[in-house]
Amino acid sequence: MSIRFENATKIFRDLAVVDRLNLEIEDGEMMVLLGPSGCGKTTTLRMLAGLEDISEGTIYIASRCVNGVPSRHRNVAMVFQNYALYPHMTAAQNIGYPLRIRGVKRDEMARQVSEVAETLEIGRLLDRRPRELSGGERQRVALARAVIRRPAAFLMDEPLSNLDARLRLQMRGELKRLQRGLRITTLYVTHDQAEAMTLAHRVAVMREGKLQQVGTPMELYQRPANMFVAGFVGSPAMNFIQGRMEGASFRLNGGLLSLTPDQLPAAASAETLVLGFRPECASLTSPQEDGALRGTVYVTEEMGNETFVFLKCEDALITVRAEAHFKAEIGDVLGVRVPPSSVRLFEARTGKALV
Amino acid sequence: MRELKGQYDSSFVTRYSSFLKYALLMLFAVFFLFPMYWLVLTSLKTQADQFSMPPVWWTKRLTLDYYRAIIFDSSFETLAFNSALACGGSALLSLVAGTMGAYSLSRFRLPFRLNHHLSLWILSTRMFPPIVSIVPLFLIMRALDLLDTRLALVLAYSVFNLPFVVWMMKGFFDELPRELEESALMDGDTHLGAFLRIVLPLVAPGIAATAIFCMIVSWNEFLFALILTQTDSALTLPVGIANQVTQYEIRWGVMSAAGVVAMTPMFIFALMVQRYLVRGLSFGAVKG
Repeated sequence: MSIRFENATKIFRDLAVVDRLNLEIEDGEMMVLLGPSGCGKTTTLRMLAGLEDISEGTIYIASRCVNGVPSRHRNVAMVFQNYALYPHMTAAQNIGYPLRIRGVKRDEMARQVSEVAETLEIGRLLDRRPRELSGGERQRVALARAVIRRPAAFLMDEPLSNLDARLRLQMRGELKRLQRGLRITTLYVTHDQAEAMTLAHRVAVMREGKLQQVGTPMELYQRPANMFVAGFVGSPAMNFIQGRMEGASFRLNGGLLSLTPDQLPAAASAETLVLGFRPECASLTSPQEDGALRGTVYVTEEMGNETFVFLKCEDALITVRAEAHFKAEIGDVLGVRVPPSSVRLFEARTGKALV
Repeated sequence: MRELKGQYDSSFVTRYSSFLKYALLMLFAVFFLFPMYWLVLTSLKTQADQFSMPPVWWTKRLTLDYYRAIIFDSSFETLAFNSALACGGSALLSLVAGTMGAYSLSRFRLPFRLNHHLSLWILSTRMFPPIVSIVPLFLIMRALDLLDTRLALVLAYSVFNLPFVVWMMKGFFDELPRELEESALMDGDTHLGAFLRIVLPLVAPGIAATAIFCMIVSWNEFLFALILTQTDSALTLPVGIANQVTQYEIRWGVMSAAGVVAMTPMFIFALMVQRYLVRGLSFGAVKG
């Protein structure tokens, strides 16, 4: 079932925590709300859940306006960050709770519970209470409880953030398979850009209550709408260097970087520019090379399969990805070659992308 | 490994101060436990020993006569029944009202910081001494024609138990993650359903502890019972026992035996909920 936010606004004590949000989630789509803490993503989710009132605007679930409709009549299921399993009930009772509320017969309930438990591979845990389950098992029980009644939509509030790193990766994959298999419209809230990139059909980036950009993970990565999105999506983050135009070139400390013809008109329109490029697009070279950016090595981080070199270029600290066996000492001076086609230009004052 | 000399010194100080601490505690314990001992002893002593001078601190001449006397005395049973009814009734009444009130205060945000003000106002009713309210209470009960009834005691005790129930239960509700109810709402339950099916079972131990505390307070209550009741139809144990002090004699043996019997159930209750009592009395100020 599709979901639509129309100028949805939440005001807490004169502060718009969510500010005129317009967003449409298509039927069966997995939309990830991405943003730093306090950006309004959880409030957005809770408004959709019916746990918070909507101050202004409208929210539609399957073309039905749900403003003022209590949670139980919205037919959406939610997975909480701390799972919110009922401690006094067994896993089976937890999973069956939504059915029990709806007056489903006992044997029918048992059948459905074991069926869902089978899909999530928790069949042998059904008699245990939440405190006897590990983090990953609790997560599965919470998912099973959400899945069992085939809701119009799943709402997930950072469901993986309480798991340890290895388990998180594993559950991430399973969550994706589950969602793709069931094709249930899902709104997933996270501050982890890697989760957003890997799980989402589309990602909506929020900041201070305002929607910054909506798009597929690749769109966000390749064509960020502003410096915030550019810096938030992708790891390590995009490098930014402030500068100005000199003719058809961007003035860098080492020399001039010539821009591609389609970047020129936009670049000319702005007073001050910020040039952005991703660590994986640049390469290291000799500091004498023409048009290369010069920097001194600040620190290097060897990841095993690659090495990240952090360089100080005047005021900016930039990151460049090098191959695994790259060696450099702190204080070495290196050149950075930035292919003009991989460069994104932003207006310094507003942070907006220019091309 | 050899320890440093300084550490010997500090452990000596620690041991010395902990010895002092326990000595002091022993002193307090003796001070508070002696009356209990004296009560039990007096209930078992013969009348001659009760009045002998110097007092008999310890004796082997024991008798169960006084226990026999109160057990076969129908008026003791009536008093015990009145006490039980007043104390059970007020516990039930204040728990039903207080638990729901506490839940509202814990979960629903009222405008103008009303949650805070209401909570303090409820607490403040416990700040004045009971005797302040006894005259108005007497007048109200007279107007309602409730004097010398058990219902009057149930109501009067509820007045004093209610704030305690609200504050203690609020502490239990505050500790319960809000997500549990939100999860129940998302699963399709109503607010009331979530309260009954999720919240109540989880705070059940707290309810039991609070109930017992209420009962202990009401069971021991003297002043209200003295003023609001007169005859066996509503008189409670504490007042009934005190009535053994008559114009002509003080029946120490019967009084002591009745005191011991009256004390026993509350003693057991208090042992059962000791852990919760300390927590409840700190009014949730300290988070574990």
